[in-house]
Order: sequence, then C-alpha cells, then structure tokens
Amino acid sequence: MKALRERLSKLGGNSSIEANLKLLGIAGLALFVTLVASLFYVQHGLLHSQERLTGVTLPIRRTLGRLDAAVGDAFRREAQLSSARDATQLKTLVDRSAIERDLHNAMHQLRELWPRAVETGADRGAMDKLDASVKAFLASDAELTAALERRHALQARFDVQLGAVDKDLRALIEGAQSISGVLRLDFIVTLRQIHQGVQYNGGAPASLIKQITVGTTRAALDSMAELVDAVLALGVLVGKTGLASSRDSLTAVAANELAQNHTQITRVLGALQLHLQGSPALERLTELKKQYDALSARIVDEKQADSLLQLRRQVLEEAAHAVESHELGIARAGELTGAVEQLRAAATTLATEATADAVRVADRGRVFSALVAVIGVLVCLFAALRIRQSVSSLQTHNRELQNLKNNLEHVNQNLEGIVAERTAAMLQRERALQLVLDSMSDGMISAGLDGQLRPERSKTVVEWFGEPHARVKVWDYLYPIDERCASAFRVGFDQLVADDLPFELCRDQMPRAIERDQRSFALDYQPMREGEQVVSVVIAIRDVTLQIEVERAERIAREQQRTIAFLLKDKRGFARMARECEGLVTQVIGSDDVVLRRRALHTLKGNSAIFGLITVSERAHELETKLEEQGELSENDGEQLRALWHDSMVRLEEFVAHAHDTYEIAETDLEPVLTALRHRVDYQDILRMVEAFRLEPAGAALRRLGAQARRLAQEHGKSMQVQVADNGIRISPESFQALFSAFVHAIRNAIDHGVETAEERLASGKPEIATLALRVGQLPDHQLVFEIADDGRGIDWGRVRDKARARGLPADTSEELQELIWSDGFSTRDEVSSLSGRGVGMSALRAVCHEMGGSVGLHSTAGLGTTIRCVVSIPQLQRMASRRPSIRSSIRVSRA
Amino acid sequence: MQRTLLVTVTVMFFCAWAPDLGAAHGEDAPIRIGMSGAFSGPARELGEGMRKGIEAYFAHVNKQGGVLGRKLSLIALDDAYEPARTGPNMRKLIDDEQVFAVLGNPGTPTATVAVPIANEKHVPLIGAFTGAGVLRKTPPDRYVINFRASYAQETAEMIDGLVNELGLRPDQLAFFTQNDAYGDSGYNGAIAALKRLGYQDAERLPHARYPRNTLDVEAGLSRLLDPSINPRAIIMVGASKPCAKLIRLAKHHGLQALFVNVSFVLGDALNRELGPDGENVVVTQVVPSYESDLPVVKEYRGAIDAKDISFISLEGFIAAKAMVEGLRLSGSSPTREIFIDTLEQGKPIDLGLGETHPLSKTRHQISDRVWPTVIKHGRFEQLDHWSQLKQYLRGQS
Repeated sequence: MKALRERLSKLGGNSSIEANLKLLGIAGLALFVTLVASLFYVQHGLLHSQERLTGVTLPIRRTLGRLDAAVGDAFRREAQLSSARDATQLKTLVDRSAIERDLHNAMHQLRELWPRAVETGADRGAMDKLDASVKAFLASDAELTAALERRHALQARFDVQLGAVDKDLRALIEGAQSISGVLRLDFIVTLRQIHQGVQYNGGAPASLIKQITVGTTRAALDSMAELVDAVLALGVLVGKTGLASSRDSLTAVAANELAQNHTQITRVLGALQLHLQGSPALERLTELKKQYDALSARIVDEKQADSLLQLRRQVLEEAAHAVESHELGIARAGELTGAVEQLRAAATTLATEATADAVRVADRGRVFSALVAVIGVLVCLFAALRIRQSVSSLQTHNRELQNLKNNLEHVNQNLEGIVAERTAAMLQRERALQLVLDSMSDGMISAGLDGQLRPERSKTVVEWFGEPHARVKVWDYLYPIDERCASAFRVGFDQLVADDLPFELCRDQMPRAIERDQRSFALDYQPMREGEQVVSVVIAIRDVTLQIEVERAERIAREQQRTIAFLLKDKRGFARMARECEGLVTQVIGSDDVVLRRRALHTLKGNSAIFGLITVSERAHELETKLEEQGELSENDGEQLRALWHDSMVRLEEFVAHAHDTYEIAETDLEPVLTALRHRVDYQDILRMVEAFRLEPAGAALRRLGAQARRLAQEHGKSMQVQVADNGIRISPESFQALFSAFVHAIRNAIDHGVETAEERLASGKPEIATLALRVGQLPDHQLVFEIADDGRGIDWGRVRDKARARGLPADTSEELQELIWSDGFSTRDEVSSLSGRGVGMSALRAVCHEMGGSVGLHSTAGLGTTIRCVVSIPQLQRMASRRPSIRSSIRVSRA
Repeated sequence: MQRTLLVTVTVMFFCAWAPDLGAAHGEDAPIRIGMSGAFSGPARELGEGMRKGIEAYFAHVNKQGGVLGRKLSLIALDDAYEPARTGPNMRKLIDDEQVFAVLGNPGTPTATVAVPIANEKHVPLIGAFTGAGVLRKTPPDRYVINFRASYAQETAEMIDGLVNELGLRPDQLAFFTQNDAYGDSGYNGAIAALKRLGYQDAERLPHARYPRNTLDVEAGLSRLLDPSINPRAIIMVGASKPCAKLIRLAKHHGLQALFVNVSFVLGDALNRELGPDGENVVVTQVVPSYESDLPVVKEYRGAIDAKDISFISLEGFIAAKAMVEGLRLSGSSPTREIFIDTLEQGKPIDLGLGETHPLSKTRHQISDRVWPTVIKHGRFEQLDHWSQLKQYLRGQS
C-alpha cells in the first residue's frame, strides 16, 4: 500500500490543462457577447419595419377595404332604389344611415392613420381628395333618393286616380247598357206588336213600321250603339295614358285621341237627348251625361292638378330627374373609387419600403455573425491542440494506476475462494437431508416451540396441505379455515412444549386425526430434544383415507350379512318393514309437524334395528338427537337419510324381490282344507278356509317380534326368553303392520326400562332369565286383544310423579300418572339410549291403537313387571275369513 | 291502425288548443255559436231572417234546459253582405269569441270567404243560406255541413216538374238569370237536368241575363219577348227586386208564361214586391211551407213570433235544429272533431221533416228536398204536383 501511495503522488502536473481551459473560456465569453450585441441590432431594425407595417400600412389597407365595401353597398342600394316599383318598396330602402355610418367610420379611421403615413412619406393631397369624393357621393345619393320618393308619391296618386277613373268608366258603361236595354225593349215590343198585327189582324199599322225603320227608335238604337263603343274606347285610352313612357307620347294621346273621343261622346249624348224626349230613359241619360262630364274632367282637365294627364306628366318628369341623379351618383362613385385606389397605391408603396428596410438590416446581421463565427473557430482550434497534449500525459498515469488495482484484486480473490468452499459443503448436507425427507411416503413437518413451521418438511406434506407461507404457525397450516380447531390445537401444542407435564401425556390430548380435501390423515407427535430440553416437535402425518374406507365397507358387508339372515328367515315381514320404513322416511322429509317427524324417526330407528340395518338406525338416532336439540332438520339431513335408506335397499333388492307375491302355507294349514274337500264340506266354508291363507297366523308376527326382542336384549347384555301365544288367530298382516311396529316401542321400553340385568334379577330372587310374553286373543264384537308382558322391575311411579312435578304437570291420581306414561315426550329416563328414552314410543303406540278404533292400557307393579294391553277392532275385510275356529273345530271333529 | 292513430293524435292536438264545448268558458258557460250575416244594407232581410230563426230555436232549446246541460248562445256579427267584411268577422268569431261552430251565414259571395277560413281553423260551418257549389265540393270539405238542397237541385226539380209532370216541351222553356256564379249554378243545374231527359239542345234555349245589383232587366226582357220565340215557362235565378220587375214588365207587355223562381229569390220579398202581379208565380223552396203540418214546422210556429214567420227564418230554425241534433249525438263533451266525426258516422238525424238524414264522409248535405210553392191570392200554397199548374196555363192560352 505504501508503494501505491508513492506512485500516485507522482501523477500530479495537470496545471497546463487548467490554463488552456481558462483561455478557451475567455475566448467563448467574448464571442457570446459580440453575438448578443449583433442580435439586438438586427432585432431592433426588424421591429421598426414591423411596426411600420402593422401600425400604419395594414390598418390603412384594412380601412380602405371597409371603405370599398361601403361604396359597394351604396352602389347596390342605388340600383335597388332605381328599380323599386312602388313607394312601399322604396320606403324600406330609403334609410341610408347604415351606409353613411360605414363611410364616416372608415373616413374617421383614415384621417387618424394618414398623418403617420405622411410622416413616412405618403402624399398628403390624396386624403383631401378622398374626403371631397365621399361628400359629393353622399350628396348625389341624397338627391337620387329624394327624386325617387317624389316620383313614387306621384305614381301612387296617379294609381289612385286611375282606380277612380276605372270605377267611373264601369258605371258609365253600365249606365249606357241600361239605357240600351230600355231602347232594345222598346224595339222588341214594337216588333211584337207588328208581329201580332200581322198574325191576328192581317197587317201591322204603318206608324209602327215607320218608327222602327226610319223613326226615332231606330236612330236612338244606333246612337246608343255608338255611345257604348265610344265609352269602351275611352277605357282603352285611359289605359294608354297609364302606359305612356315619355312626355311626348303622353302629349300625343291627349291632343289627338282623347280629344277626338271627347268630341264623339259629347255629340252622341246630344243626339240621344233629342231621341229620348218623352222616354222613361231620358232621366237616366241626363244622369249619364253628368257622370261623363265629371269623368272627362278627371281625365283630361289640364287645370286640375289631380287630373290623370297632369299626374302622369309629373310622374314622367320625376322619373327623368331620377335617372339623371342616378347617373350623377354613378359618376361620383367612380371618383370615390379612384380616390380610394390612389390611397391604396400609397399604402402599398409604404409597405414595400418597410419590407426593404427589414431586408437590409437582416443582411447586415448575417455578415457580422459569420465574421464572429470564423474568429471563434480559430480560437477553439488553438485551445484544442493544447488540451490534447495534456490528455496524453494523463493517460500514461492512468495505466499505472490500473496495474496497482489489479494487484489488490488478486489478494481479495484468494479470501473469497475459501469462504465459498465451506458454504458449498454445508449446502450439500442440507440437500441430502431434504432428499431423505422428500422420499418418505408418510408426511413429516416440524415446528419450533413457538409453533412456527420449520423449513425441514417432507414433500408429501406439501402435496397434501399445500406450500406453507413463510413463518406460518403449525395450527394455521393444518387448519387454515377452521379457527376453532386451530385454537384448540394451539392450546394443546403450547402444553406439549411447556415441559410442565410429561410429553407423552400431553401428546394424548393432541388431535390424532385430521380431515382434509375428503381425505383422512393420522397425526403423531415426536419431541426433538437437545439434552433434556425439547427444542422442536416433529409431526408425522399418515394418509389413512383408504384404511377408513376399507373399514366402512367391511361394516356394511357385516351389516348386510346380518340383514340377509333376517330377511331369509322372514321375507314377507322384511318386505312389510321395508315398505313401512320407506313411508317413514318420506314422512321425516315431508312432514312439517315436529311431533310426527319425531315419531317417524323413532319408529324408523326401531324398525331398521330389528332387521339389522344398523347404519340407518344410527343415522335415524343422530337425526332424532339433532331434531331435539335444534327443533328442526335441514333439507340436506332428510336427503341424506333417504339416500342411505335407498342404498341399503338397493343392496338388498334381489333378496326382497317377489316377497309380496308369495304366501307361505304350513302343512298343518293345508291339511284341514284337503280334509274338507275330501268330505265335500260346504263350498262356502272351503272358500273361507282358502281365503284365510291370505291371512297370516298372528303367531308368526308375534314370533318375529319375539326374535327382535331377543336380539335387542342380547345387544343390551340382558338374557331374556320370549313366549308367544296366538290362540290360532290369523290376521291380515297389512292391517296390523302399524300396530306391530308400535309394539316394538313397547318391547324396547320393556328391555330398556323393565328387564334387569342377570345380577339384579338373581339379587331380587327372580329367575336369571327374564321372560317376555306376547299374546293375542279374540274378544266378542270383532275385537282382538294383544298383550305384552314382562317380569321386570315394573314402573317406578314415584319417579314418574317427581319428573312430572318438576315439569309442572298434574300427577296426583293414578289416571294422571298413566296419562303421563302415554303422553308425547315424556320419559323417565335421564339419558337417551339407542333403544329408548325419548318418551315417543308409548305415545306412538297409543296413537296407532286409537287409529284402529281400539284402546290401550297399562298395568305395572313395582318389582313384578309391566303388562301392556291393546284392544283393537278386527278390520271389516278380515272378519269373514277369520271365523276359523269354528271350521277348525269341525275338522278336528272329523279327524277324531 | 295508423289512421286511428292519426285521428287520435289529431283529436288530441285539437283538444289541446281548440276550445271544445267547455274548455274556454267552463262547464256551465253557454255553448257559443257564431254567425256572420247581413244585418244592414239591401240584403239585411236575409241575415235578420236567419238570425230570428236560429235565435227562436236556441230559445226553444234553452227553455227546455239546453243541450248537454248547457245553454246555447248566438254571437251574430254584421257583414252587410260584403265578402270583405266576412273574413274579419269569421276570425273574430273563432279567435276572440271562441265559438264552437259558425251557423247560418247567408249568401254565396260571403261563403266563398268563410269556407277557406272554416277549413283552415277547423271550425264547423253549418247550414249556410246558399245553394251554391262552393259549399258542395266533391268530396265535401270536412268542416262544411249544409242543410239545404243546392240551386242545381232546385232547377233540376223545376225541369222535372215542368216537363214530366206539367207536360211542357223543353223548347217551351226559357231562362232569366243573374249574370254571376249564382245565376250560373242554377242555369247549369237546369241544363244538366234537361240533358238527362234527353234534350241535347238545351244550351240553345233562350237565356236572358241581367247585371247583379241592378234593375236593368229590360235588355233581358227584350230577349224573352222576341216574337220569334214563345216560351211557356221562364226559369228565374235572380234576386227578388229585378225578378219582380221582370215579371211585372213581362206581364205588362203580354208575355203569357209561368214564372218559376228558386228559393234564393226570397219568396216573401218577391210576393210583397209583386202585389197582385204575383198571382200564380212559382217559387221552389228548400224548406216546407210554414203552414205545413210537419212536426218541425209546428215546433217552429210555436217558438217564433208570428211577425217573424218566413221561409228564411224557418230555414234558420231547421238549420239550428240540425246542429243541435248533431251535438246531442256527439256524446257528453264533444269537440269540433268529435262533432264532425259523429256526423260522418252516419247516425240518422231526425229533424221532424218526415224522414231521417244520415250524413257520411262523402255527403255533407242534410236535405235534398225541394218544395215547389205557388202564390195564390197573396199567399204561398204548396204544390203537391206540378200538374196543378195546368189550369193556370190553360187559362192563359
């Protein structure tokens, strides 16, 4: 290191680079200042030109444009004015204030702008000329407007007068025609008189003929025709007056045609006046003459200012005047346009000058910039040469420094190699360990004392439970969803590692099985110790799903075997049971009544147990418990029960098939029928006997119950014998199925509550084996009596009373106590077993008896046993067939 | 479907702005009916007659509790028979007075102005006192409802009666008409009727005319008195005064013919004008004689002042009745559109003329009937059969 430092100190001497950079900097600064100065100069020059353009020339041109537009508008208006047809149309155009305003505004702006233009060399006189032109134009326009207004006013007056003349003319013509009508009537009447004279008198008076050939009638008619023609001609002349386009043509019409027409009409009217003397039309003619005089004055009288001719003449004069004014206006407008053009030319000159100035300034700026740039480049070249020398000496120093650095790195690398070797060895060991873990088929995880999962774990665990998160606790890993189980596990685990109690003791408190993704796992725990201290816990996890499945299958097979055994013994009984259970399952699912459901479940439990369907029976028990605790069942529960039942039935289907089609008839039953046939006994009797085959000996059903009872007793570790007495009674099994099902409850009660264990019995001096008697007998009035009697401990009435009182029920008389035994939901048992204890069975039995139109009674003596007695009516269907004892006796007689 | 929708939309639209019977003035306000007629000037008799008839019927109905529980009121404006005044009157009635309909306007020239306004404003124009074709287009204008037979129907009836019943030859007929649309429509109706009878030379028949608003009948009369022709019946389509003058002059000059007038001549005025010269002059009427026993005429006589009895006021009375009957058929709150729709549905209207009058989209005229009457001793007698005139003709010849 010391050597290195010495070599570095030699590498000084870069002062020459500094000096060169300083020189370069000074040169650059000088160039920059010069360039900025030239830029300022150029910009100033350009700005000046720009200002001349935008501040003076452009506004002038804009204003000139506006002036042009205003003049154009004025032209247009004048054209419209001249072509206006009447006063109304003219009125909308007369207002010229808009155009005047435009012109004045434009002029005002120009007057403000022009002095500045003059400063920069424009002609002062052009502006004055323009001013004069505008004034002259406006004056001529005013004159034109006035002339036109006068003209149209006169025209309107003329039109009014023309209308009046027209109306008078029409009246005149009507009058003439009216007089003409009168004259024509005279003429026709005269003709008629001549005609009548010729037709009836052989000739007409000569005076009449003279009158219409050369007399006044003829003359008057002719004059009248001339008058009508002349009046019509007058109408035409009036029209001509209105159409006359010059004063000369008007004068011609007035002097010649109108005058001649007047003379003619006056003459004809005079003639008519002579002809019509004495006629009724004379009065009308006088009126007509007055009308004509007035009309004539209206048309031609030169003295009247309002006469048609005078008005027309004035109109024509004014029209001529207006044309002159219009022409003058056009000339003035031409002058105005000329003046504007002159100004525009001046403005254009100004603009050109300003642009030329700008170009000059820009050129100067360019030359100066180029000069400065060349100087700058030269200075840079000089400085660059100097810097290059300095850089090459710096490179030499750099190479030496690199060598020193390489030496240092070599030393470092040796150190790192040693460290890497050791690390690799450790990693290899860890990998080996992990390999061992991964190859295990059972899972393994380990957790520290704080429950945190340690990295060493087998691969299978990850496959089963998923990749754990970093620093996950073992309980959260095993129970990611179920918080309750997780916290229970945590409590156990804390105890396990606390070291207060022996590890093995605590281990037994830990969960040994866990369900995950429909698989079952067994858990085992092993402590890892260092010395005496537990440092971590290894948890071995084994997949036992398959094992459990196998166990379950075995159980089902065993159950099936047992069921089949029952089934083979009593096929019809089984079939009936199956049908009834089917109904019960439906009731459990479908009913809303909690009591009914409970009864159905209870009966299902009993029935299925009788035939060894333990899974169904257990499930029914579970559901019963649930119903009691929660007061309801979910839909799912019902469906599961149905599925379970269905599965069981499917397995047994082939054994149950045809059970219903078959009747079993014992030899002893067949023999009497044969005997009766041989002895040709009455047909009706034989029919009854054969019909009775469809009935079943009551003994068979009772024996079936007995077998169940024995089995139940066995299951409960009690030994019991069953006695059956049927007194030869046959019954329809279907009718009594419900009753026998209900008997099962009574039998269960008897076994569960009544029958003591063998030890108890011996202690109380009874025979070791208990006896259950099942009896049936016939009463008069088609009634059967069934009895179930046991010789067990009997009902503890004191206990029943206490229970009832605790629940606030009446329990004083023996009737009330009996009622309690039969009522729903009352049981003396504190615990519920799979056999009985729910207080449902007895009430179900009573319900069935009542349904069958019977009654039920109970007699129990403490220490001696209990007898239940059911009396039911024989169903109607069965009565005929069951009259067998008489037949039997008859056969016995014959046998004997 | 689309048409129904259209009608519905239209009706809704009009319900929205157009006053129906109640919108503008409340449910208990009277139903306002307008009229524009001549109440001054030479034709005032027309306007007054129609108004008297209408008001008599309105009073008659109002006395019985009105129609649909509402009274009727007539707002009559004077147009002096000048078309130029009819337009403003119509607009004032519709826009300011908010009338439900316009009823009984007299005159053809005034009708030419009133019809387009009624169509534009969608206001019914009912029972105008004119038989002119301008109110009888094919198909009819939606808002124009006529009561009376047309002039053409009147002259056709004349031709039928004169030729078929009275036994005149067509070439014994002549015409005297006013030289305007009124005269033309009557003349054209007669010519068409003659051609229907198989007389193709109808246009050559003597046709005398006179200018409207004048008494200048002499030129026309000279045409009729021409010794080369000998008409037995003159069909006249004109106003009462010129017609009266013509009849008087013709009789004076010895023309022995039957003078047959259309209803618009105003029989009562003609009768007054002619005095004794009126004997045997025939006037066709579009309403029955006011001495008839028809139910509506009895109703009329009971409702109107005796001094106001005339053919004109009778027509006003019946026209008013036609409108009211239409209203009664139109439901509880009729709009103008419902009113017209109801009439066009053809529900028969019984006016007490001895028959019912169903209308339709193609028929907007209630009555086609023409009643010929003749003046006897200064009174109008109903002609049951034209042959009753034979005696008179015989007496002449």
